[in-house]
Amino acid sequence: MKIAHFADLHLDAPFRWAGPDAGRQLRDRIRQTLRNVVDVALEQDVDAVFCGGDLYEHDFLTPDTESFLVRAFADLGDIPVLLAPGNHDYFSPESAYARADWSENVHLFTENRLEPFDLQDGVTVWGAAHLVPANTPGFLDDFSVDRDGINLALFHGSERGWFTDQEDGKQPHAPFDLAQIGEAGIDHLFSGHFHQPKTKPLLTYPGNPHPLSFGESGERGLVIATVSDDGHISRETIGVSPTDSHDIRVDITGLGHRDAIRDQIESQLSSLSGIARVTIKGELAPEVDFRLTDFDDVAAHLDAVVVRSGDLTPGYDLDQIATEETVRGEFVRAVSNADLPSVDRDLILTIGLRALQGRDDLAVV
Amino acid sequence: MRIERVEAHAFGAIRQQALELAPGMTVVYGQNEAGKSTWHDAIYAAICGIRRGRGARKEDREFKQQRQPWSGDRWSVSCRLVLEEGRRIEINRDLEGKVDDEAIDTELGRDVSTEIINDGAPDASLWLGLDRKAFLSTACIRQGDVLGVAQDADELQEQLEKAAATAGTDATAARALEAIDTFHSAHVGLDRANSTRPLRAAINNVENARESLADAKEAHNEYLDLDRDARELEQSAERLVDELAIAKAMKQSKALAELKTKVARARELSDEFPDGAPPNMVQQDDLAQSVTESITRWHERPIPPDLSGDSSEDLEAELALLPEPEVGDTTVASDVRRARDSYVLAVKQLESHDDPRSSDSVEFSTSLSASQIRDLAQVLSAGQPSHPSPDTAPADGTSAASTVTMAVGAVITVVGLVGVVAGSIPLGIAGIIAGLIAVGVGFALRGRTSAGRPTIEDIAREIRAQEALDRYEAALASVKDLGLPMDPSQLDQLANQAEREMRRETDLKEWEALQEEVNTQTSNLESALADRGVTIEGAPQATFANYEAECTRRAEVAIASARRPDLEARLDERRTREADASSISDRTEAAATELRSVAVSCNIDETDPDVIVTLLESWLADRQEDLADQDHDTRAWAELEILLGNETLPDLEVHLSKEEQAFASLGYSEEDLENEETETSGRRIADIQQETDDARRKANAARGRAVQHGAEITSVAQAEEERIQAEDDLTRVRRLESLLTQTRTFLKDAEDKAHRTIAPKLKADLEQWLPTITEGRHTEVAVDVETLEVQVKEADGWQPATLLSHGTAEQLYLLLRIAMVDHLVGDNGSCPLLIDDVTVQSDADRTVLILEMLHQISEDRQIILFSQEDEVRSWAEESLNEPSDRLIQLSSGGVPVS
Repeated sequence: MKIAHFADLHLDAPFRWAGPDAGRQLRDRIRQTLRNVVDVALEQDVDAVFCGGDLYEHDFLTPDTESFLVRAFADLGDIPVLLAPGNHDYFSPESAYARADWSENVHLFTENRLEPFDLQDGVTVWGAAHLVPANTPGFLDDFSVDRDGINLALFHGSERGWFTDQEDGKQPHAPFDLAQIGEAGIDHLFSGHFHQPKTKPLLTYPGNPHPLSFGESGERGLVIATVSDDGHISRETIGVSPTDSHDIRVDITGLGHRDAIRDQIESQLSSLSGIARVTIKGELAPEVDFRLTDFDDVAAHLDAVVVRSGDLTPGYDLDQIATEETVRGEFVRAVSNADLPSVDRDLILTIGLRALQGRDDLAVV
Repeated sequence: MRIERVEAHAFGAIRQQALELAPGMTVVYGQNEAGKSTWHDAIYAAICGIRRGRGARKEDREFKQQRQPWSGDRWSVSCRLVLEEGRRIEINRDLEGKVDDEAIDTELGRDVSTEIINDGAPDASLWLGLDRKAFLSTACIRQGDVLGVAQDADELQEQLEKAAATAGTDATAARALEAIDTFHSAHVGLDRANSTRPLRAAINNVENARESLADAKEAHNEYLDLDRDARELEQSAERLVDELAIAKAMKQSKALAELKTKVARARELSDEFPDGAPPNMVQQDDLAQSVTESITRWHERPIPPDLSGDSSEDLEAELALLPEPEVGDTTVASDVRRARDSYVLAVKQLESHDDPRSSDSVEFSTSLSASQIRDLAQVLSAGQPSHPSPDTAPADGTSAASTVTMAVGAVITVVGLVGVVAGSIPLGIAGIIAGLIAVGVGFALRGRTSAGRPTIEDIAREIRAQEALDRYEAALASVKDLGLPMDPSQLDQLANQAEREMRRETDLKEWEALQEEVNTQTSNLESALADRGVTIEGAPQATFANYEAECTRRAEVAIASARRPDLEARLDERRTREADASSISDRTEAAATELRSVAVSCNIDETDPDVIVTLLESWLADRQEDLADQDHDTRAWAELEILLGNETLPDLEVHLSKEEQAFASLGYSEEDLENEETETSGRRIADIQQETDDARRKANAARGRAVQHGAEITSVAQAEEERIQAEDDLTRVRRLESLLTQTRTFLKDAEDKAHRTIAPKLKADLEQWLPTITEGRHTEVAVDVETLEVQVKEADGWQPATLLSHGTAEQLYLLLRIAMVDHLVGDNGSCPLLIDDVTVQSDADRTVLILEMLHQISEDRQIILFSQEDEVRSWAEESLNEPSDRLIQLSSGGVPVS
C-alpha cells in the first residue's frame, strides 16, 4: 500500500518578507505545489493521500483558493484523501473544511480525538483535528488502538523531543512523545507542524513542500510511504515545489560603485530560479553610494528577490582614523567603544565618516 | 620623519634627477617652469604613493595626467627617509603599475611596506599618524593657506576646521553635521501631519495599510457570513429536494405496488384461460331477453285509474250552473265600520247627556266667587271682635315707630281695598289683611310702650285680636261696597246660587261638544260610505244597514262562483284519468299479446297473461341455472380484459419491469420508505416542489451574492503583506532616523571633545611664537574651538588676529597651520613641511619675517620651501647654514644646480 503524505502547505499564506506582488506570485506557486502533489500521487498510483494539517491559512483563505482546493482533490478521483486540520487551518463551522463541497474521496477528521477510518481491510487510519488555533492537547495522551491490523495515525502535532530543534516561534500544539506512538499501538504516525523535515522509524514530518521563508534546508516535499503487510514503512521524498529558495550572500569588498555591486548580485543570481534572499556583506568602500532599494529590480527572472544588508563593514581604515587627533578620529573612537550592536556601529561609522567626507549619500539602509 | 633624498627617475619633465634635502630648512629656488611644483609632487608621491584600489579617482587621474613622464619612461620615483626612531627607509615607487612599490628598511634590508599599506600602496605618512590625503592637506602648505588672511579669514578658518575635523582631508565637523541634518530632512523628515517627507509618508502608509487590512478582513468576514447564509439556504433546499424525492418515491412505490398487484392478478387470470377467451355463452339470449322484457313489461304495466265518482259530463253540467262573481264589497269595509262605530258612540254619548238647555239660568250680579262669598259669610258670622286694650302710650321713639307702622298698615289696607274693588279680589284681600296686621303691630307697639314691659304673649294676643277685628271690618266694608246682604246666611245662599250657575254653564258646554262630535261622525260615516260607492240616502244608520246587507249578498254570490276553479280542476283531472284508463288498457293488451307471442316461442300453450308470466319465469329460472356455471369465466375474462386494457400480459410485464427499474433508480427501497411520513398526495408533492423551487431560487441568489462578494474582496494575505511592507518601510525610516540621530550625537560629541583637546595645544603653540612675531606686543592668544578664529589680547581686551598687520596675521595663521600639523601628528614625531611660494604676495620685509620664522621652526622639523623669488634665494644664501640647511637652485627641467 502506498501513501502520499504532505503537510504544512499553507495555501494563501502571506509572505511578509516579499511584499504584495511577489507574495501573490508565491501563493500561486503554492497552488502549483498542490497540483504537483496531485500529479505525483496519480503517477505513483498511491492508495491514499494524507495531509497532516496546515493545508491552508484559515485567516487568509480566499474563495478562489477554496474552490481550487476542492477541485484539486477531486482530480484524484477515487483515491481517498484524508485531511487532518492543524492549528492554522483548524476545523470549525466557519472553516473552509466545513464550508466546502468536498468530493466524495475526501475524508475529513473533525474531532479533537483520534477517530478511526478504515482505509482498507486491516488498515485503519486514526486521525484527529485541531478545533482551535492554539492549546490543543496531545492526541496520543491516554490513547491506544482497539483493533488488530495495521494502525496508522495522521494528525498535526509537536513531537516534544524535536521541539527545541525546530524553528523559533513554534508553539507546542498537540504535543506528544516519540515513545507514545508505539505505546498507543500506532505503526506509524504521519504528522505535520514542523517545517523542518524529519523522519523516525515511527514518525514522518515531511516539512513544508513549498518554501515559506529563507534558510529552509533538508529534503522536503511529498513523502511516498510504502506500507508493508507487517506495518513496516519505507519512504521516499519527492520534491513538488515549483519554486527554489536561495539564500545568497554577496561580498562587496573591493567593489567601488553600486553598478559593480549590482553586477555582482546579478551574476550570482543569473543561473537561479525561484526566490532568493541576497545578503550584502563585506567591506563597503567609502566611495560607494548605494541603497538597498537600488536593487529592487535586480534579477527580474526570479519570482522574488529580497536584498538586505548583512555584515557590512565600513570601508575605512578605522584603526588609522582612530589614531587621529581630529573630530573624525574622536568620532571613530567613540563609536567603536560604544555599546552598540555591531550592525548599528558599522552603519553609524559609515554615516558619520561619509558626512565628514562632505558626501550626501550617507546611508545604505 | 625627515626626508634625506628624493629621486625622480621619471616624473613629469624630470628624468633621473635627485634632491638631497637638509634636515632643517631647504629652500628650492627656481624660475617659472623650473620644475618646483613637479618636485613638490614628486616628494609627495615618493612619500605617500598613489592608491591602488579599484577605479581611479578624479584627483588620481588628474595627478597622473599632470605628472606622468614626458619621456615615456616608466613613471617612478623614490626617496629615502629617516624615521623618528632612527630607522632609514628606502621607498621605491612604481607609479605606473602601482604593484612594485616597496619600502625597505635599509639597515635590516627588509621590506616594511606592510606597516604602511594604505589603499593598496605603501603610505609613509601613516608613520606620522596621517595618510596620503591628510599629508597632502596638512604637510603641504600652499600660498592660499597663509595669504590673504585679512581679506578672507573664513577660508583659512575652514581649512583649519577641516584639519581639526578630518586632518584637512574632507569636510568640517559643522558641514558633516549639516549634511546629516540635510540627509535627515530628505530621507526622514518630521512627523507632522502635513509633511511629505518619508517618515510621515511611511506612517501614513502604515495607517492606510492597516485600514486596508481591516477592510479586507471585514470584507472576508462578510463573505463568510454570506457563504454561511448561502449554505444554510442550500442545505434547506437540499432537505426539500430529499423530501420531494421521498415523496415522489413513495408515490411511485405506491403506483408500483398497484401495478405489481395488477400484473399478478392478470397473470392469475391469464393462467385460467390458456386458450384465450371463454366460449360465447349468449345463445338464446335474444329469446331470453324477449322473455325477460315481456315479463318486465307485463309486470310494469300501469294500474288502470279509478273512474268512480262524477263523470266529466256531470262536472261540466255543474259548472254551467255556477253564477258569475259581482263587483263590490263582500264584507263591510273596515274604515266604514270604524266610522259607523264612531257615529254610534257619539250618538249614544249625546243621548246619555241631559240637555242643559232645558234648565233656567239664575241672574247673578256679583263678581265674587261662591267661595269668596262663603268666606265673607264666615267672617261676618263670627261677629264683631272686641278691640285690643290700649294699656300704655308709646314713648318717644317707639311711639314714632308704632305710628309709622300703623300708617303703613293703613296704606296697605287701602291698597287692598282698591284691589278688591278693581277686581283683583285675592290680592286685594291679601293687601287688606297685611295692612291690618301692620296697623295692629303698630298699635301693639304703642300699647306695649305705654304699659311699660308687655310680655310676648300679650303682644301676640293683641296682634291676633287686632287681626280679627281687621278681618271683620274689611269683610263688612266689602259687603257694603258690593251691595251684598250683611246676613251671613244670605251670603251662604248667595254662594250656593253662584255654585249652581257655574255648574249649569259647564254642562251646557259639554252637551254642545257632544253634539258637535255627532255631527262630525255623521260626516265621516257618510264620507266613508261614499268612498265605497254607496249612495247616501236617509239617515246614516239606514244607509249603513243597506250597505251591509248588500255586502252580505255579494259575499254569497262570490262563494258560489268560487267553486268554479275547483270544479274545472276536477273536470281536467277526470278527463285525464279517463284518457289514461283508455291508454293503459291498450298497453295491457299489447303486453298480453307480447306475452302470448313469447310463450309460443317458449313452447307454452297458454293465453292468460298471468299464467303465461308464471310459466315464462319458470322458463327463465331454468335457463339461468344453465348459465350460472359459465358466469365465473365470463367475469374473470372481463376482469382480465379490464386489467390488460389495450395491452397484452407481456406488455404489462415489460411495463412493470420498467417501473421497477425506474423506482430502483430513485435509490430508495420500499423498506426505506416504510418509515417515511411524507405525504404522497399530488397536492403535497406540488407544494414541496414549489417550496423546493423557492428554496433553490433563494439559495442560488444567496450563493450568487456570496460568489460576487468573494470575487470582489481583496486578498487578506495581500493586504497583510502590504501592511508588513508599509511597517517594514516605517521601521526602516525609523531605524535610519535612529542611526542618523545617534551618528549626529556621536559626531557632535566628538567635535566638542576634539575642540577641547585642540584648542589648548594650538594656543600653547601660538603663544610660543607670538612675542617674537609681534615684537613683544602680544603674549596671549585665544583660539575659538568652534571656528578656530584667533584673537590676541590687547591692553583693553581681545581683538581678532585679522585686525593685526597683514604680515603679523599671516605669520600667526601660518603658525596656527603648523601647530595644527603638529597636533595631528602628535606623538608620531615631526612632520616635514612642504611649503610652496607662501611669500609670493609679500613685500620684502614680510618675506624676511616669514623666512626667519620658518628658519627658526625648522629647528624642530624639516622644512622644504619652494620659491621663485630672488629675495628668498638671497635670504637663503645669506641665512641658511650647511649642513642643517640648504639652498637648491633648479635649472630648466628641474635639474638641481650645485
